[in-house]
Amino acid sequence: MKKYEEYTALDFVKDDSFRDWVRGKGRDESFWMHFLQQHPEKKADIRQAELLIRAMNVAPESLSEKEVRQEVSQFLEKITKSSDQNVAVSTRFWWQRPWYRLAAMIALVIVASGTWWIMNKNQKTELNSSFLPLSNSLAETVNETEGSLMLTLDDGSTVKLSPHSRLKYAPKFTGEIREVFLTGEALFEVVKKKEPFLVQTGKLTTKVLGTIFTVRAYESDNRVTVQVRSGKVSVYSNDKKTPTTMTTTKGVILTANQAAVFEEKEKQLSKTLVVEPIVLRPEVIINHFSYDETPLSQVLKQLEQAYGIHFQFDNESLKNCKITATLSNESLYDKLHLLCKITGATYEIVDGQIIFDAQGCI
Amino acid sequence: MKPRPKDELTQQLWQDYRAGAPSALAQLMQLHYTDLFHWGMRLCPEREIVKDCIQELFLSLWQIHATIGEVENVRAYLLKSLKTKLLRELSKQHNHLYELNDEYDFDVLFSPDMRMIEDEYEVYQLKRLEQVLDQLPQRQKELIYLRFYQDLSYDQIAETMQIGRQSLYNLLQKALSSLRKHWQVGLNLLLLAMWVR
Repeated sequence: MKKYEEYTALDFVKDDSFRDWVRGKGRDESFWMHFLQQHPEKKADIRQAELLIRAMNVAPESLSEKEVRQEVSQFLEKITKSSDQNVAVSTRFWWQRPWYRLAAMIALVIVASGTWWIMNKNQKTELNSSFLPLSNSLAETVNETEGSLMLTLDDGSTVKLSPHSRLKYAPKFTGEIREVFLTGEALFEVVKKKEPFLVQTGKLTTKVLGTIFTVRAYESDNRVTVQVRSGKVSVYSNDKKTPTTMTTTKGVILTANQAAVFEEKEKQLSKTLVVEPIVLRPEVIINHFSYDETPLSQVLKQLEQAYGIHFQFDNESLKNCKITATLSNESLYDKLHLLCKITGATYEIVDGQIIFDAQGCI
Repeated sequence: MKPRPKDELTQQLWQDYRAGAPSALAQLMQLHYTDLFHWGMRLCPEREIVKDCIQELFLSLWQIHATIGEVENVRAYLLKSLKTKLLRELSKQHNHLYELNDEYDFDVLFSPDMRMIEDEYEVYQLKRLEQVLDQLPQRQKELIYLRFYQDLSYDQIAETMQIGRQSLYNLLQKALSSLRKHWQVGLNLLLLAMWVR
């Protein structure tokens, strides 16, 4: 374990995990968030390190995929042609041409079998982790494109399958449940029916009656997230090692704008908020988020109603806080950030709620 | 930016290429093209020359596929080889011999990532750092570029820049200390700004 507590700003800069986190491509998101909470004394160093990394950014060159493809195929053409020339110039290498061809074929087989092996491996893990034995009658859709793929299931539910994701499902739903198996990420819009709809992702089961939600379970991610856009969803872990304590449970119930994260390493299931909460009740925003000497508590109550997210705050300490500002289309977190800046408050997301902490205003 | 290919994949392709598979080398070219092109453009601003040199690099790699050995770091090896090729090409064009340890040009412009930064003072700090970075000597910029843009390890940087570990370390210390110097100025300013407020 690295001694991050003793790190200076420059040590953080040199740390790979930290740099990935700043660039938003890290796998240790929760680790660094946690570390920041545990070590507020490191905040200044971390902020400096972050700025330094941001400053080191270099813009990419404009180079299209097409240009790269052209260059590569030009290259391939040249090397296959040059082998022809060799044959023409010197008969000593008469065997070269078929040999090149053979080599090219071998390489193709290697690539294909490699992919096949990976696919098989995935299937195996899925087989091991699912409850029901997979029958051969399951259909499978793999999205190998760079865009999303829309699927309509037998019951009318739709699935937007993200790139490099795979969904297995029964061509016709029969029996007590509607069950699908997901590797990767998908947004589900489930039609309400008597039979519950289950998304299996190995370690985690997401069960719904009818709702819109996203499940993200890429194998490389080491975590599964479920984000709910509307309706109610229950999520539970199939892992026997998941501890059942006060803070972590085997199952959580999520409502709109809430999310569940299952960390594979810690085997912990926890409740949080979606990355981009959406306004659930636009009718609440009659003032278009425009405030004039409005008490902060009233602003928070309005956000609470609009986003359907529970806010916790101390009425007494917020008493003197007045807001004069016009908020617009920025995300909920940006709005909160702004409110915090105006009032010197802080907020954190705990168990799918927002805890707003203000020291009081003058 | 697309994620870089995994080392195992690159190694596997390298083995296949050595065994005589043209498609493996083509795939290596495809996977590393963006990085190689970006790197090439830092050394020479002409797109076509950079593209030609990448073509030549892979053509010459193909010619020696039967004799070339194992390479521990394929990416660093490719970056280094492209640099040698480009400097040779530039030497021809400018009638001046550039060598790897020489003062050849290295052109990189740092453009701070200002996303989600609202604080004016932080914006100011980033702009200030940008200036400091842009004024660093070329070799120090190259080092920072290889570390931060190409994500190379220090060993790989030493290989790519063809300098020993100790020289690399000295170079790194120089770069960091001049950053630290200006960063400290920033820190004091921050304190002052808070005091005045």
